[in-house]
Amino acid sequence: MTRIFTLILALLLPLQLHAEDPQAFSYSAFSQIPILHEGRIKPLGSFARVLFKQINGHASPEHASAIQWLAHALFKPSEAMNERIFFVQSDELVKVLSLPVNKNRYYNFSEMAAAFADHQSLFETLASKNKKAFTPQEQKLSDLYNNVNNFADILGTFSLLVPLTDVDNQTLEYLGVNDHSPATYLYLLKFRREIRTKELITLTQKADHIETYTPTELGIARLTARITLLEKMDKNNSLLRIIPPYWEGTEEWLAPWSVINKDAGSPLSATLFADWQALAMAYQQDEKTEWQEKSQKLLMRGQTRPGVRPWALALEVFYNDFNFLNKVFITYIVALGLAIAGLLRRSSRLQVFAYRVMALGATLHCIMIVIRMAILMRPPVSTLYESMVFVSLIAIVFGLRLEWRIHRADGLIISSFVACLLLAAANVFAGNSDSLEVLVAVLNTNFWLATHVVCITTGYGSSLVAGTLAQLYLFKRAIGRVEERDLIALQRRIHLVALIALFFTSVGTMLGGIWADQSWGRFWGWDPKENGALWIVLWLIWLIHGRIAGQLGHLGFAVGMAFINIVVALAWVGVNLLNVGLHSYGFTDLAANSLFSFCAFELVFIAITTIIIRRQKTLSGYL
Amino acid sequence: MVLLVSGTISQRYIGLYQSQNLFLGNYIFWLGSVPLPGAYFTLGLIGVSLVVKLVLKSPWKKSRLGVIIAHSSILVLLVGALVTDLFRQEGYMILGPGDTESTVYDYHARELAILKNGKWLLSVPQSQLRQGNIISHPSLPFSLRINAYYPNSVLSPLTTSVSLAHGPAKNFSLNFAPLNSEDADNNSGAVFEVSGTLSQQDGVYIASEYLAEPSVILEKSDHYEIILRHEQRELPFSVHLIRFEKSDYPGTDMARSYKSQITVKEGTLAWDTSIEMNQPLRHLGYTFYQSSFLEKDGKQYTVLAVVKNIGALFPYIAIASLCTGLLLHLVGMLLTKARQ
Repeated sequence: MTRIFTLILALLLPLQLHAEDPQAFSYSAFSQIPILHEGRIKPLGSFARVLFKQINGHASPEHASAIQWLAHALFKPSEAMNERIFFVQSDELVKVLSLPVNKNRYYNFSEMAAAFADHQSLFETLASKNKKAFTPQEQKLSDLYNNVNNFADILGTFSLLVPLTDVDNQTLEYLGVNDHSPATYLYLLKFRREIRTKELITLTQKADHIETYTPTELGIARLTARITLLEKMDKNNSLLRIIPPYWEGTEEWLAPWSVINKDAGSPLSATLFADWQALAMAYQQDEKTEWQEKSQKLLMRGQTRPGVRPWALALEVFYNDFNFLNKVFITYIVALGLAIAGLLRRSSRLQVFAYRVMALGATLHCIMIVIRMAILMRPPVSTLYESMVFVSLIAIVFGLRLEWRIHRADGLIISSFVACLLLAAANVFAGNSDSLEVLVAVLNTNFWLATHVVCITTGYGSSLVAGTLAQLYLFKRAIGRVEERDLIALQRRIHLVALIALFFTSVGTMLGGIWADQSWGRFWGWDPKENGALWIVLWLIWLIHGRIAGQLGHLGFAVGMAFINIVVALAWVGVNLLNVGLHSYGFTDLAANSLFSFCAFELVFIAITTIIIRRQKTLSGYL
Repeated sequence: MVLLVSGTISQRYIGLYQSQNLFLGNYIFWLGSVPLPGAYFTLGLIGVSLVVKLVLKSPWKKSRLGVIIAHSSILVLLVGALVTDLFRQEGYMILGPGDTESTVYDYHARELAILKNGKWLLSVPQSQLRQGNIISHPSLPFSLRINAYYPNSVLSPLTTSVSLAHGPAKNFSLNFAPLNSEDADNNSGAVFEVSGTLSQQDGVYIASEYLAEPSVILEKSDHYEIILRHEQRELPFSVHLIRFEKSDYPGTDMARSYKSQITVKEGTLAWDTSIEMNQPLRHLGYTFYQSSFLEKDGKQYTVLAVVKNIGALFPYIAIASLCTGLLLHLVGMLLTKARQ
């Protein structure tokens, strides 16, 4: 029976909550078009998600996907300008920028641009300051500034392909343009010299006496003004790098305006410009078949460029759409619920069900990690986010192994609880950046990432399992009504997992030292992260030896082991608060608060359970 | 643990180098005027107890093999740390394209160097730059008496000139400054008195890392320069930089890799090789690492870390034995459990 339920759950997981409307535009090809962003070639769909999350805080707009939002902003910029997507992080910032008060603190581009124009000096001071010395408020302001600029880049990406509105046919004919092509900036570039000459002639003859200008001369003046304005606004537009390199010796993809700016035009860029123009037209005119055809064509052109892996693009879009992290998280929550229910109702069937659901979650979890490895072509862990995702899998693997035969609730509850906590933390710590990011030079080595990092994170995972098992031990003793035999078995397990943890953390730490020796010429440099790893190792050594030497009783050992969770949390993410050393990643207020709350909760839990146990008369001989 | 936690947290405030000196890199740790065991002392104690345990207390049985190997590996690591601490030399080398260099500069230690007609004559290590120390040398026609040495110093312009002051000391006074969190930002300085010159150049001089202009003494048509600099060591070979390559992730200024293409010249031999991030060059006991790079006047300079450490092999042995020992122990435990 439980097998059938698990199977049903497995079949339900791939279902999407929002089914695609067959009448609407299809974004499947469009979202796969390759773009160079943050040093990596990725599908447009990923780019849209990262950008929207940075600007808005959410993964996608309420009634649309991120890619739909991007298409709208690219091809209907005048409408997108008025959508309230910018999230201003604090009331104080609203005040500083004199923005109109609004409950949710969401503003549109026009409002933001106006506020920025009024407070230009604020940003000039900010630009002159060292980024490392920013206060949290300044950091938020700087992020907001970047977001608005990035969105401005999006709005203006294709402005060179849009027909200029206030140019009349008479002026065009006067310039010698008579092939009825749309008068876009790109097209008129060919006539730049004529426009300039005619403007100069008029200016020499009539200076700025506009009332004496003929209609065509007026047309030229208007055209010049329009072109100058466009260049002023968009000339440095460089965000959407969708034009692949064509000439030899460059790997750099360029945004459409940069192609013009850097004189990097090629037959390829000309074709792509025409395709993008047609795509924009299809979008604006609601031509669904045309849209589909053109986006497919653009995708095919992108796929064949050197350095682009078509399967990776498709895989990444699938990875994003499937939302692995959430699904894995939900599966573990279900498993946790089932295991607790099984414990309370003493139902072994529920526990078997919990075990199977957890195994299902673990399978999904593995698939998720393998996909990430395939996309990034590197071992599973290289960022804080990835370490959390990986360590949660380690916890689950421990749970599955511990309860391999008997499916007791203990291991199931512990491992699914730890995994859920870590996956939730991963969400907090991932911040606004792309979780599939490239690495700085020194970390860019697959050998050490595969050995040291995997080893040390496995150590973190096993330490957390040992620590949480110890907390379960304390909890069980605190509530009483538990057999001594069970407690002794639990103690043994804690000891075994602690030994495994010691193995991985000590070997991992020393491997880290050897990596440092290979890269910088020193085995040990007292870097905070190195010290953090050493804390864990020393803590484990102390407890294990204390237990063997008989200086720590069962309760003492369990209390000490329960503390390892705090030690791991501080060594793993806490050292980032110091913002020094080679291992430190960016850190947010939310992350710091979550860390402190976690430690405080653990401390209170350990203190309360220990006090209760110490007061108990029963089992006292067993202390 | 206490030392480790303090040493880590203090890095935020006083920087890695200072907190290492204060908490982690010494035998005695002074809490005010109370001496407490420092990190080295603690490590030594651990080492001694490990030896005692292994020799006197360990049951030398087959079943305990894993535990014994694991504990010995820690001993190997500690011995390695001691050897490294005693004999390790580390420094750096900065090379522009086309430069050839055989001198390594120490990261931290400074020296007072005296050059005669542009050629090196004598170096006084930092440890001897103590107040009252007198420096003389058979080939030096005068002697130096150290008045003060500051690991970090500031120069303040003088409004009135001081009698008997020479060189930069005529216009500047050298004063103590608190240490910076990055040792590279410290400008050490020394004030010294020269006596015994024939050409009436006796008096007070200063030398500071901050000064581009050295203190100069002209004696019998010989030209003596006295400078304070990072300690220098000569290599038995030289390194020539062909070119430095830094490649960024396309479209960003984030580095993907650094690489120095070099020629190593030793006597009449010369060969080309390269040094990359995570791929050092090892030659004659010296190891060269791609440490960093500088950009100056449109030219890119490579910064190579140069380390000579005979203790480098210890961690490798330690990790191999630790891994074996713990695995043996774990497998043994699991087997016993399975048997039960």
